[in-house]
Amino acid sequence: MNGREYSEPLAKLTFGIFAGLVGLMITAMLVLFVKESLPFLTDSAVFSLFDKHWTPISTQFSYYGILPLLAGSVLVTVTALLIAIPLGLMAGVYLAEIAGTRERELLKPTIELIAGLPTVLLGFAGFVLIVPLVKSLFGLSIGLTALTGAVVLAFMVLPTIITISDEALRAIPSSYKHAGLALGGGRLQTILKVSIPSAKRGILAAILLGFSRAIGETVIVVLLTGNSAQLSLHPFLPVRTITATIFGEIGGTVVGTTHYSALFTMGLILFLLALTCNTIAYRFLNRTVQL
Amino acid sequence: MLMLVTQLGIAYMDKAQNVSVSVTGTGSGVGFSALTNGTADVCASSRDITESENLLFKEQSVTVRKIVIAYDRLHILVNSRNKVDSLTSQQVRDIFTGRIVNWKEVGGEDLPIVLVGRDLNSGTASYLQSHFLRGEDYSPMTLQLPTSYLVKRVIGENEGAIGYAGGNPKELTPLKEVAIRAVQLSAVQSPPDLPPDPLSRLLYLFTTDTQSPAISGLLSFILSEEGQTIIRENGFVGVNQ
Repeated sequence: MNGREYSEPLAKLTFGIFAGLVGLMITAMLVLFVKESLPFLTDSAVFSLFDKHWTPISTQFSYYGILPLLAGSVLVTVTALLIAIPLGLMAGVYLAEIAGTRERELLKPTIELIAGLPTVLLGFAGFVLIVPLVKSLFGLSIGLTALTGAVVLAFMVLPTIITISDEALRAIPSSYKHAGLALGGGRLQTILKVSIPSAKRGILAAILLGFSRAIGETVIVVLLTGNSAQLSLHPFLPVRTITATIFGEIGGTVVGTTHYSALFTMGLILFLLALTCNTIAYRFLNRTVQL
Repeated sequence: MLMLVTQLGIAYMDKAQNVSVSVTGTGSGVGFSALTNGTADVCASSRDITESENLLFKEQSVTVRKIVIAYDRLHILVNSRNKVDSLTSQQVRDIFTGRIVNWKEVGGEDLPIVLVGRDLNSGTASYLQSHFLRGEDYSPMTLQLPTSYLVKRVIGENEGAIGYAGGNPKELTPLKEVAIRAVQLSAVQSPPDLPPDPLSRLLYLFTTDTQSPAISGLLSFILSEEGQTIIRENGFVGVNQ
């Protein structure tokens, strides 16, 4: 008998426990959110969920309408992606197809560095730099708008989009590209007609992961979007996202109230949204690797 | 108020050896939650305890002690470039509830009004709503910012902005003054049975622990001449005058 016979099953068990623990934590979180949401979901107040007012502690009538908050989250996130997708895709193509080895070795870690920046720093930099810029550039009465938050969020999700689309493009067998070039296609034509279409699942995954990161971000939107709960899809107006609402109200609510439970319902909706995006994204990514 | 209690905490730590005070914000509501959960020993609040909060302590059979540490006056703040010098209480109400949306309606320039307020964790926001807006809701257009630092900063940077904060209206942080000023309120009616000014309020500390020497030491320090001097330096009115 040597030590190896014991250590292998032991190692397997140890790693298995930790892997299981992660799964258990996610399940526990889901259970917690469902449990805390139930009082609201079974209360008559749930009928105001699709109202266009969010006035949880009103002295007149409490509306728990998610529409202005959902519109805020979607507007900020979609605008951020509209900025980040073209930039990120172009940068990804450059890294994967055009950049030389040395350039790549320099650029890639630099881009990944942005992903590691604490988002509160991005938010603060945005407050000092982007808020006055948006205000004067568009002649607005206030610089805290959906667009302001979106610009900084776009910067935040860029590394995700660049890195994943770069990897998706590099995973394409070089025979595809050679075929494109051999058929007389130029370099640009090969990129546009062969590389990008072949990597489209990976690129879609990059976009979805960017979406779920952006819609879940809190500090940046709290600092930059003004947080007024008006129902609007105008990028030049202040908006309030779901995350900013939970952040701004959960600390002050009394545990067990309808307001408290309504905030958990918002959390549950966000949780399911992010989970769906991530699941689809990883499914896309797995298929790309199999190419 | 966060700025004030932070300074009081630091001063007390300098004076009393072996006591560590950590102060965290933001919003009176957060303080009461923390006191209920037992994550805080003392809760600083710019509003009185609510009935539902009181009920939570009663359910846990915990007695809460309330100490008034200062008087404060809320200020209605505008950008210093704003030409409107004074507003009536009714006009302020109409502005915050969204019935007046442009400065020209109250004698100013043709400029949209930008409402700047605090989020729902704020004691100041709920005090103003119940005592000054007579329970009416803030306009949904109101920006809800996480601290009064940001409220003052945003007003200082936006010509059409109006907002509110307690303490010294000019002081942004010890570091920087902002381009804001307080609006004079004209024609404030003060019935004899009510406090003379609807914008005056009390600042409180609440605690559930009356035994610990560290906490009673902190409370007596704040009420001492030394603590009250810090309170006056921050633009509030002391309680032992």
